[in-house]
Amino acid sequence: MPALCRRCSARAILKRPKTGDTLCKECFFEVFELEIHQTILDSKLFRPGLRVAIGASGGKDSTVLAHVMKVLNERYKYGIDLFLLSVDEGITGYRGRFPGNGQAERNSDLYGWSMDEIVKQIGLKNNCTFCGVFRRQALDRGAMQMDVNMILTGHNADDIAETVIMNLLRGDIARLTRCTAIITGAEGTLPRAKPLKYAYEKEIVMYAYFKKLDYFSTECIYSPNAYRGYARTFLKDLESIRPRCIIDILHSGENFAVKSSVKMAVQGLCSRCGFISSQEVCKACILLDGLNRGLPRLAVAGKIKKVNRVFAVSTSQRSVESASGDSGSPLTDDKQKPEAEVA
Amino acid sequence: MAVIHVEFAGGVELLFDNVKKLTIPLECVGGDTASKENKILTIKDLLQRLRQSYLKQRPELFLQGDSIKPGILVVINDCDWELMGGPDYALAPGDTVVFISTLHGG
Amino acid sequence: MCQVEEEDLEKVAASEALAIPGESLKISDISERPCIKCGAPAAIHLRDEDFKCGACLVASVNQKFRIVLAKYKISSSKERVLVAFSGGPASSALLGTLRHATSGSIYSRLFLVPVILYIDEGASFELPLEERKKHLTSVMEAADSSGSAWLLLHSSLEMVFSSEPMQLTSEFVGGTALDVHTDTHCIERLGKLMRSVKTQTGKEEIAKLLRTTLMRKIARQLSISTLFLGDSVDRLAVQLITNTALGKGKRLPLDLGYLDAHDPICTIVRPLKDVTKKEIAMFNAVSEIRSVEVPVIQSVGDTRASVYSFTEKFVFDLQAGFPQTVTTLCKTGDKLCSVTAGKIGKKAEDDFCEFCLGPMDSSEKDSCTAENSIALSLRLSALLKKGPVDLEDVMSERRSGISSCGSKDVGCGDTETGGCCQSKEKKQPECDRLCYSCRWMMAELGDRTLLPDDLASELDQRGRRNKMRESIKEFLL
Repeated sequence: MPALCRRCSARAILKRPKTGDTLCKECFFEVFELEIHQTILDSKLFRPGLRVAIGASGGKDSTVLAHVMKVLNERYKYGIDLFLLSVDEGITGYRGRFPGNGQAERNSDLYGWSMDEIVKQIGLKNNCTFCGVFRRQALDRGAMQMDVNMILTGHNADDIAETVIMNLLRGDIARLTRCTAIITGAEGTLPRAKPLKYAYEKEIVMYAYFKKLDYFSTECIYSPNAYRGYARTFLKDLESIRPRCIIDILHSGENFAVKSSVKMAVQGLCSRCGFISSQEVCKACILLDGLNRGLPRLAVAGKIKKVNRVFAVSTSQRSVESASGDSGSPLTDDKQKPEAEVA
Repeated sequence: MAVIHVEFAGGVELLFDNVKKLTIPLECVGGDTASKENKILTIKDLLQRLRQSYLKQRPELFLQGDSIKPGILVVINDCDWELMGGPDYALAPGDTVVFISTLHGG
Repeated sequence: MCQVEEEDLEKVAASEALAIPGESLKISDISERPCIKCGAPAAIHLRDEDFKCGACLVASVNQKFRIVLAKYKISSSKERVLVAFSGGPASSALLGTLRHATSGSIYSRLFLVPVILYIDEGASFELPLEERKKHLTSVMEAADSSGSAWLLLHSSLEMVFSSEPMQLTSEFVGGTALDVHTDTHCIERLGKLMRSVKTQTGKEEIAKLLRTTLMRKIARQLSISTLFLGDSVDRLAVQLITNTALGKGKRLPLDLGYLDAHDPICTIVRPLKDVTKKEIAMFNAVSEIRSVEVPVIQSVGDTRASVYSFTEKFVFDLQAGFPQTVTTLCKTGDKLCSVTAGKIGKKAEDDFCEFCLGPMDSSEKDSCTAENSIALSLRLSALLKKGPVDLEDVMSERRSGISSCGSKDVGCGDTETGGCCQSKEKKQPECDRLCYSCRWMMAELGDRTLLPDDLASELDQRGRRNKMRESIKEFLL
């Protein structure tokens, strides 16, 4: 005997992990979309005329995000212009196709290195660092080329809860208080927002399933950071014990306050490329420099002093180079590049 | 002949050699040892069957103990299995069981 | 989603460094290493290059105890402190450090008078009385074996329902079987309360709340204003994740700190906060301290039974591979505070939960928070569908009582009439005085009257608000 919808007594298709209620297909769609709409209203995310890029990986989260944003923008007349923006990391078979008519940024176009090439250099350990750092910046750069005012990402409630647990485990106090914010981004950079932050991963996947949205679900062929893997497995198990845990962790995360006596890194801008960074020189520049010098493990080794030393040399060299009219940095090259190709 | 349909989505298919759809005769679900006449076959039996005959790699990414790994959704006839009795749901001829991973990609 | 970010970088490097197999050293390898303090053969490997011999380890644990006590200012000489004792290794070690601190040279001696309290929790998971008697006797023997002439008391969890002043059995004569201090009426009430909670996690949370309430009651009855708990760093690390997973983020600093002065009746001190499970085991072995394990409510069911027991497994597994896990967790916890700076001046009386005495954590109306999000979810599913939902309607209702809507919804546990007791004009003021997680606990419970009658009134002492305001100021400094 199948269960009935709590709201309209039709045949239920889903048990909501957030509340334990049963809903039919129509009520589920309605409630799911309404809640995202309310998140957008409560956080005062948009104003009419805003140009908004959706960071589209082609995976479930960004596919659902893109679909819901289009629906809501039409239904509630946000008056915003939506764009899809995709980053091709250069991993064989990972980003096989792009959803719809979006814009693609390629790692190899921006940095002269594809992830496959990077892995050849650095091996499987730590390659996620390169990918994460480069992808994040590639998204920013792509967005700037498209002249948008904001980037939306598909992070869901499970992702954020996982990040809260990760930041506790590794003692990253600055990110711990930052990671639950719906809008992030320092001055001078594009704001990034997470409209799906209160949507459970289960509901996102169910939404995609029942709406018959086609998404791309290949696992990245390079294995993810093991430590994060533990947190992820833990969270999924916890959710099976007590589904409300996810939203409770978010509640906890939103209520963390750091003692005033604790020093925190202030986010500033990279002195080389001008992107958001908590250090003098951003990670992307350090990583890239390491790659270009044939010392790919330079920054990953975590020896800040050494990095600074190398960089002191590097910047002085660069000033000489630029004085002679030869700009050596691939980053500065990129800024002059024409629009990246449209997939 | 009574059959059930099994589908894999969201990345689970990668563990099954990229097979997205299977049709399994209901009587095969119980395996060779079970008495085929009387036994009520459940999702649990189906999981064992899949593991024995179809799962190609890394069973720990699909199963945890006797049940499904948390994070993989099970949809029976377009309905969340949590509403259908979970692993104890009794399979009926013509049922469609879909396994969808939430763990892949994003 | 792949969430690797820039900051992961240093951590990857750090975790690589941590992956040096510290725990896998064999005993024979350890004894070849010298103690870093005195050069004698080491008996324990703590971390990195930290090898210690037995004597130096005992000294360092005693030292850690003293450092915490130095932070806690003893107001008068001969101050009595209540020491919670479970019989387990950590609380046995706590007695050991106390004995060390209160004996010895008159110049270094601490003038504390410990009163040892064991609370038998057997009734919370329906342990037969005979078993409880057996456990009680063995726990009291272990306490007695500490060799100090301290007062040994015991009580039972169900006595939290008793309105009579507590009769505390105070005499323990070695070798005699003790009678559990109990009352059939109270056992019945506790049983009814525990049965009305469906999940093991909920049961454990209720039991914890009752235990704290009972200890506070006893402390007040004895006019003792300090309670020592034997929490080790490992236990606190598990507590940190558990609290986070149960929505008690704002409470973290209280449950993890050296000192919890939030409760005006009884200050909680955790002298073993920086001592690891491993150190405790070695400390007990070297000092020949006995401990006994008695079953507690957390030992019911397997590791997947509750959030706490599953988290415990997770943290300890991780600790085995990454030996810095628990210390990192606790250091993170130490950097958090429970009161946001701007809020001190505000009406302090509204800022504390009636049940757990934790800081209130309700969201502002119409703000984008997890609490408002779940309140909306509850509201939407309670709303019967009659044509398209008018969002304005839902929202205005949400607005009219939200910090409550979620809370009222869950507060009265009434899901039949659309969840909100607003409509039924029930008396629901206490819901507004409970924190997020206690409201959920109430929702799971369903019926307020199942709880001890004086749970709230016990706390509602004259001058409580003012005292609290004072204690917070201290806490902030």
